[in-house]
Amino acid sequence: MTSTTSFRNFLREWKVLYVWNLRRSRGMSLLYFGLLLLAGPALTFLVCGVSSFPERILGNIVPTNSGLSIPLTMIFTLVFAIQRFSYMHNKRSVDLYHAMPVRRGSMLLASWSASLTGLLLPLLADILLLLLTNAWFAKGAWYNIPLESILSYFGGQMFMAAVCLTFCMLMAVCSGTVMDMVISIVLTNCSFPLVILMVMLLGSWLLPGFDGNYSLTLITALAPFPAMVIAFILQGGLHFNLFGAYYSFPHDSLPLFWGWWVLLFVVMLVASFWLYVRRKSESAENDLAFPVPKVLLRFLCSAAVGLLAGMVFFLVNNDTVSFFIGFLLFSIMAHAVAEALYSRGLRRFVRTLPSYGVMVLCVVALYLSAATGFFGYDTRVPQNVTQASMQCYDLSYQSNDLSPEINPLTLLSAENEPLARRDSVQMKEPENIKIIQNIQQELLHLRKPEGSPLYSFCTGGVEAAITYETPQGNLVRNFRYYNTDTRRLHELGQQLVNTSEWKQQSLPYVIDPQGIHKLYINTNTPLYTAGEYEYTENSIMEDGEVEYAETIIDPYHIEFSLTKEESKTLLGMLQKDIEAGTALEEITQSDENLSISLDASAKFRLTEDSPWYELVPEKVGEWVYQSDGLSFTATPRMENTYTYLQKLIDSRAGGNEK
Amino acid sequence: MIEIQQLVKRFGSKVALDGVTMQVESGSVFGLVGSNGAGKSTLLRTLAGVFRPDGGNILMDGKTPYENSEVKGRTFFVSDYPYFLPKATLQEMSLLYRSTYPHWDNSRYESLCRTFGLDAKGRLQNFSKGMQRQAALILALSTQPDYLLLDEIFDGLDPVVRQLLKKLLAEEVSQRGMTVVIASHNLRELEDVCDHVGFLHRGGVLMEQELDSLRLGIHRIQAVFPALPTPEQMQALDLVHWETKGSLVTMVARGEEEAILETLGQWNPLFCESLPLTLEEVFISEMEAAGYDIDNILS
Repeated sequence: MTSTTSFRNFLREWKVLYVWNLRRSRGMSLLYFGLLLLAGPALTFLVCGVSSFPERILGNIVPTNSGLSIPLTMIFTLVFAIQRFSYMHNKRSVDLYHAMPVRRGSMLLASWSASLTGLLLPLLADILLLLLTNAWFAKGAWYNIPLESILSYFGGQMFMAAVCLTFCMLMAVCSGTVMDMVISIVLTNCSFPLVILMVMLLGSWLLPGFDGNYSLTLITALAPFPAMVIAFILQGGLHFNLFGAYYSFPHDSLPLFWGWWVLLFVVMLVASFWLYVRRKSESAENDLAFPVPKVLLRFLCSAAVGLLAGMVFFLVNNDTVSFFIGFLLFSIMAHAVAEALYSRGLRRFVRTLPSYGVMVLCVVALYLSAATGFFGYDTRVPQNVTQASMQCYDLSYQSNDLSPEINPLTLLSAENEPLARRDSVQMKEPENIKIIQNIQQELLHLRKPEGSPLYSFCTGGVEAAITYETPQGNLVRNFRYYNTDTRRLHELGQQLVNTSEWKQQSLPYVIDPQGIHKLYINTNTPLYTAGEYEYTENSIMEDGEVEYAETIIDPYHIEFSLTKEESKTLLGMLQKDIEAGTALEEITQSDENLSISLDASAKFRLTEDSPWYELVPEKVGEWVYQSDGLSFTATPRMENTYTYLQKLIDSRAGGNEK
Repeated sequence: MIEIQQLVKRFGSKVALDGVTMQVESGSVFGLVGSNGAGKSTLLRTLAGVFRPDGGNILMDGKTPYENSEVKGRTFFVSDYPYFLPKATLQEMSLLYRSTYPHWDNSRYESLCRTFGLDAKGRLQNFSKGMQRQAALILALSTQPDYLLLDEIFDGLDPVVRQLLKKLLAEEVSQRGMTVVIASHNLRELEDVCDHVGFLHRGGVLMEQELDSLRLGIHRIQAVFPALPTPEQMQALDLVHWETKGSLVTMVARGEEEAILETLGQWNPLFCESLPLTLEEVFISEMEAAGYDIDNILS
């Protein structure tokens, strides 16, 4: 009974202040709505009015308007937060608010909910006007805008606005002044993503096998303002083209992103109320009500700036000492700047040095742990490896480019849907898996300078990836090394390539000859002799005269189509040379060598004897095609292939004499 | 009734209130007096539920005010610098208080507006300091509080408004039994309005007494003796202050007037008379007795 009455009182107090706060912020809400109107519906109306193809604009009306309104939402979130939460940062206003017969929980909830209403109502009105704009130009077909598009873009934006506001509220509760609140908000949103990026980069430069987890969700995990932009990007899809460039976010997933922010939203909301009830009124106009954000942010700022500077110093001078000099110089400066901002001076700077020392120790610990292999991360090989694969550009020389790891092959449906992919050579034999493990050891060895227990930085070099598959999942390690003393690595690579398991999965075995329709041959010596120009009939003029197209004859190049039988025979010859080992020998430069490209992208009906059959047996009889083909160098030592190619050249060179 | 028991309030390492214990009877006007930084405003804010006590307890009719809407709804705190919402008018502020204070009386508000003659639609930020205090008083009295906490309320008020305020407070106390706690350095004004006073010094209560008994319990005596005695020889008296100018001795002593004069009679004074003390003089004497270096400050 008591709790029911208490809850009723809580709601009554909330309602009173909610209405009051809403009334106080209506001007700002109207301004926000006005700007949203200009950036969204008004602009769309204007552009559609002058465009010959308004439907093209209307097709992207939701993402475009959501994208345009995001900066406004960010700015006004901060404005509302300052307007509605600054009462707790002024001693005199605290006298008024905290003496009122309203509990602090209801007071904060009223400020938060009124700000949220002030932020979201204009956005809702904006959506409504967008629909009306669409209806105007799409002649009543407003329902063409999919509801899920509105929900995903504007719903996401609204939720992230609520998250940002809640984050601002938490910072307001922890801060003693408005300036501290704003500093905390800005520093968190800038320094956290930078720190994560720098740690990932440091790890990928230093720790063999680690390639950095550049997940946008992780990078913005504690920075809700950038996360609002990330939400917009991820809503557009995890893969997209922008100005011709292809982007993908392999480490991100929408459920993870939203799950994390829902969780953090709840945590921040609960934390804000919990802290606010415990917040001392006398904190107003003091440094901070709760010192944790200040300590954390000084840590983040100095670490982010220090690491960034350290890496720049390393890139310039290419030595580890420079990294630490750059790190120390710039991190202490960043620490001093953060302290000066928070304390409006450096009077207490000396007292903050122990916390700076903790940050330095953390970075040194991070460096040492990465440079020593991060507690066995570098050497880790999982139990029960069922198969392992290796991808290394160096191996392409040893495999004559016949490895699917170097030239991956995809089987697509007639509708361009990927059906299956060959992009790795899976080693299942224990002795072959052992070779891959030996390669991993050698890759680690290449990263340790002579006599040093620590790995050195590696910012470029050759990339290699090893994947171990187990029933529990895959373990992927990405390595980088400088091509200095790689003799042992090449020996191991040769061992790997010469296993029958590897050979059986090389491209000539997995490519379907039905898809091959053209052969391109390039060489350093003329394949045949011919006139300088070749004339072909191009068109007949009105007066009956024939116009000829003039083509320069290139005797170093020949291309021609292959019959199915020829394709099959050519692949068979290649397989014979692979078995004999001559196709996988290191290529020595010679004028007799032939550079071969096989275009295998012709459409064909999948048959049961196709190498693809085992991957997609259900597609038998359907039209499919392969994404690419294969390229390799045919040397005279590849007797079978070379002889057959000569035969093909002779048959196709026609009247041209060699 | 307000009961304050062993109240402690700290600001970091500084102790603002150090075990304050006192009582304020219902329907009384209690004057809080003390040196700068004695903890008067802190005590008022703690009573108003703005500050949470670090120790001890405050009970207002048996209930703690901190985070207690019921108690706060019957209490109004006018701070030393009244705060109004940015660009708000008296009318707008009244809307806020009307919706939050359960006993808000709109007719009282309107009558007070007329009495003080303030423009309810004018921006409060443009008001003078005195007018802002008047506005705060209008709002405070309109909430019909059982407990009115006033911090330096007389500052900036002209003599006429001061009299008006005293009159209004007296009416509220007599008609509704309102309890008033006023913290002020203006002892002259307090003398007129208070029936109890409490002296705060360095976070503690130096003394708390009814004003009349305070006045009757401390006396200034001027006397001339044939042989000048020392204060140590006056151990029979509870001396608060001792000063000599030539053969004239001026002393402040606690106790009944007759008893003091009788004690001094043993020294056969050539001349001896008792003079009334103002509250300010009582305050100064008590402060001096408490170790406040008044001579050094005034020299």
